[in-house]
Amino acid sequence: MLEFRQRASFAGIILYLVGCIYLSYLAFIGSELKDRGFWNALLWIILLFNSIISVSKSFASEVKGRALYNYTIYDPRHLILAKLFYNMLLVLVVSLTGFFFYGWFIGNLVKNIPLFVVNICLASMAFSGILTMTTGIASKINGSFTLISVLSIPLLFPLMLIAMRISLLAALGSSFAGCAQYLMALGALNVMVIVLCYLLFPYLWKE
Amino acid sequence: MKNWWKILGVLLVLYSIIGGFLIPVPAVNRVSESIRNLYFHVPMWFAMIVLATISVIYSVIALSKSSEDADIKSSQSASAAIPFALIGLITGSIWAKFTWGNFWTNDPKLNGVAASLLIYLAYFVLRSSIADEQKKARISSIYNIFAYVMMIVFILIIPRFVDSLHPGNGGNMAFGKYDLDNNMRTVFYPACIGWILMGVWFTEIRVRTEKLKRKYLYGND
Repeated sequence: MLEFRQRASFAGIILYLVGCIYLSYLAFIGSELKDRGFWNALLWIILLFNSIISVSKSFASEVKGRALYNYTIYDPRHLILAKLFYNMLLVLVVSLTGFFFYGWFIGNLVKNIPLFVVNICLASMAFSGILTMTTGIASKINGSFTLISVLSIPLLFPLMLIAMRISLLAALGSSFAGCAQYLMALGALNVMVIVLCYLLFPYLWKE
Repeated sequence: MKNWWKILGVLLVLYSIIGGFLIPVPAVNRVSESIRNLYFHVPMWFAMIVLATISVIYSVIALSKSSEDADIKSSQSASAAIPFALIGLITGSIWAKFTWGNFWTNDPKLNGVAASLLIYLAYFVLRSSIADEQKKARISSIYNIFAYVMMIVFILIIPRFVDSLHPGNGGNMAFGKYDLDNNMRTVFYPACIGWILMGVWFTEIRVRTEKLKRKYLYGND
């Protein structure tokens, strides 16, 4: 049921990501990017747009026939869980790769790397949950990329705010205990998004 | 007298405007007389949240019973909430200029408001891009529920553990604790109720015009 059939598009996403990061590296040649706040902000903006791009493929690339086929043989609840799982994995891989290349080219300013990685994992799961839902909504209206961004970006604000705060703390060398409440908030957001998707998707799915 | 609540709403709002400017207020450092803005700024947010809640309740009804009526109510109360949000934003912004020094500060509540406004504008973009009425009702209801939950998280939960300049957060005491004296309460609570009633009334008018519009466009159905 997973959709790793489109290997070409996956390679495309990774290439786009590396391109973005290299471009920001080029943009910062000559000026030193030593300020952690600035470093952090740039990384999250890159990750945000890359996750939008990676998830936006998930419904858009479905041809009409396959959507109908899926519709007839699967329970929508199973379908959304499968899609969520796939997108979470995808965004996770994309974000971790992004972090790796960002550290490679621009420099790694993070002091507490395990915390940073855990934060990226949790945040990308929540990203993909919200984006899966909004992409699903947009796909019902010939999902244009603009519509996906317009619908999802305001919904991502709270998430971005928490995730950026944790990652800044991690970059400054905070411990797990130091941002336990933020991590819990992020986890709770994850659970909430998954429950909402699970409850609302069947309504979206029926024609 | 089935319209008693409209009259009550108008009277309460009038009372809060007149009383708001005339009844003496405690002069607190920095805030001083601008505290009168409390009567106008805060009720806007209460009215907006109440309208958004009405909207999401009708969205749930519209989704579970696929009723057109509930969808009209839901979308119209969402659109009635927007002016309240804008006025709340403007009054808040002016107030912030005089007390905190800037029109816009990095504050979780301000961020939350910016996000909610964008969410509701996105909701209307979504509605306007679907032609079919039933599909419009279904899809926009789904988005509305999803968005409402995220908005509540943003404006009620996040400010709890992020420092805010607003009273009641991050070491600032709530107004109620020290300077919302009884004089102010007699204006503040009626103002909240009055503006909420006005909001409901606006919504009702919008619902009626929308229904008439549809009746005119599609004939009797």
